[in-house]
Amino acid sequence: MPLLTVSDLKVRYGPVEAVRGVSLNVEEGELVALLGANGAGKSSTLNAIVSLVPAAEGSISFRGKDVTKLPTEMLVRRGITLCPEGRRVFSGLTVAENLRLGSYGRADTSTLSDSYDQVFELFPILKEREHQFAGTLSGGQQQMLAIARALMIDPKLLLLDEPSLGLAPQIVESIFELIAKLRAQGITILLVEQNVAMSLDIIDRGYLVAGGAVVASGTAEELKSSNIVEEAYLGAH
Amino acid sequence: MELFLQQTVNAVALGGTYALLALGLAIVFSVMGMINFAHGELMTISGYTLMYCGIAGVPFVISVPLAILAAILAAVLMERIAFRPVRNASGATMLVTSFAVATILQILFQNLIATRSKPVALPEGLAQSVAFGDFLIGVNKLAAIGATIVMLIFLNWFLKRTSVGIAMRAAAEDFPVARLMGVRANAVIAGAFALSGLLAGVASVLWVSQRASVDPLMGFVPVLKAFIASILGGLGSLTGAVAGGFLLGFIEIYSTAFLPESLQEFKEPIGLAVVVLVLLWRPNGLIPSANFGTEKV
Ligand SMILES: Nc1ncnc2c1ncn2[C@@H]1O[C@H](COP(=O)(O)OP(=O)(O)O)[C@@H](O)[C@H]1O
Ligand SMILES: [Mg+2]
Repeated sequence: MPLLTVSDLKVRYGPVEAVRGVSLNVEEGELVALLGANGAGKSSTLNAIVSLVPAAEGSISFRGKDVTKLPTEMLVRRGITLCPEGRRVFSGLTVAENLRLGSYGRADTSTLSDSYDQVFELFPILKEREHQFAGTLSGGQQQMLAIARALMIDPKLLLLDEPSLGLAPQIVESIFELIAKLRAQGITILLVEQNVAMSLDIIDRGYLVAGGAVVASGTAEELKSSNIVEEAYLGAH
Repeated sequence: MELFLQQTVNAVALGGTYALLALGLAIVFSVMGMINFAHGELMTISGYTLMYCGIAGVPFVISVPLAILAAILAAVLMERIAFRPVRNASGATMLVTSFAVATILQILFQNLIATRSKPVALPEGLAQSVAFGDFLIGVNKLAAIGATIVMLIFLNWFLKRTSVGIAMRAAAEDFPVARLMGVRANAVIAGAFALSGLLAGVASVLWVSQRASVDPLMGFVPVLKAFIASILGGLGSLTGAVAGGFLLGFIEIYSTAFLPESLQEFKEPIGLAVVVLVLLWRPNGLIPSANFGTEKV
């Protein structure tokens, strides 16, 4: 049984149908990506999974239980969290306060200090900047903080929405390395990216989304050799 | 010089009370995007609690916490009954709801308690003065200043050191992301109202201690002042609310004390003119909130 199953999900904003029947699944331990251009409906899909936007139709189940209608703050308690697009760290809170808030809905607090060790080992810079306001960090550091904050609930499933967006090339590279490292640590990840080429190097499987629907899917190898991906995303490289 | 010092003490005492009220408005505004005009009625509820406690012979040291508790409970109930159903409605709807709550409570006070002002029994000590050299300060003024300081320290501690306080600041900045961290919208908003009730309750005790009476409309003027103070400081900004409250206290006391006799009848418009000037100079207030206009729940 997959950890996460999304069946025929539809998301509407008034008359705009942003997601038109997306189905996908993520197995425990996998790194799966939703790839596609701007406006394809990737963020809407992730936001619907965590109930930040309502699912107009379709269903979402997590560990075999239907969670379609569960509010955001309860999903966190089940172990699903989203690191949102655009980082959205709390700029008026210090780094330490951002991390503390990240653990707010944590079900098991007995291992909280392990999570602090984990994020400070991954991002030593955050330890150095602990008492600084998050708004004073650079873009790359804010992205690290956003990911670290999401790790603080010890997620069973981590949704990452465009973690490389708007970052300098070397930083983008280090973010992808980090995602591969998180997967190696056993964290299940559903990644959303526009950077198809780099994503295909680290993911297990992917779904290509266009116009609110899945147009191709398969393992990284299958996607790399598929015409549709080649034409749309890899040709220019 | 002595008059000046005396008036400065008065200004700090009055400004502190405004600051507490403006803080209450700002805390609710920061998480909900609504100015709660029924904040004044929380004060009135505290005032009547003090009055009834006095009539029943309850000692003042007990009636004060009871009065504050009454305001906290009333604030939480107000949120639960009146504001939760309109939480996702437009700003205008929430504003009208808060006016409606204020009006309904005023009518209830008028019909169930009294239409006129009623005396509140206060301990004699409050009306006395303490001498610092040849400089006299009223005990009630000292109490107001002391209570303001204690409340500001408490609030600072609460918002920076407790998980709920940090969650409130986070929710004020980005509510959807705070929910992603597991922050319950209901808990944060109820908490914000409870804090605003606490602040209104303390402000009410200070207000009543200067006047020894309560009436059904007593909350209106101080909350209007607190509203002006929070605009002056920057709507939704907590530090701004404190700064605006003190500034307004100073403007009012100094203009009453130091304007020449012939201008006294214009002291209100002159005070408001100073407010307008400050806003022309800083249209978003003295210390604007970074989160003004962000998405709420
Ligand atoms: N809050 C919203 N209100 C209205 N339309 C939206 C909203 N969010 C996204 N959309 C529209 O939905 C479509 C999909 O957007 P999104 O899910 O953000 O795509 P992606 O993340 O793939 O770039 C776009 O056409 C976008 O304009
Ligand atoms: Mg997006």
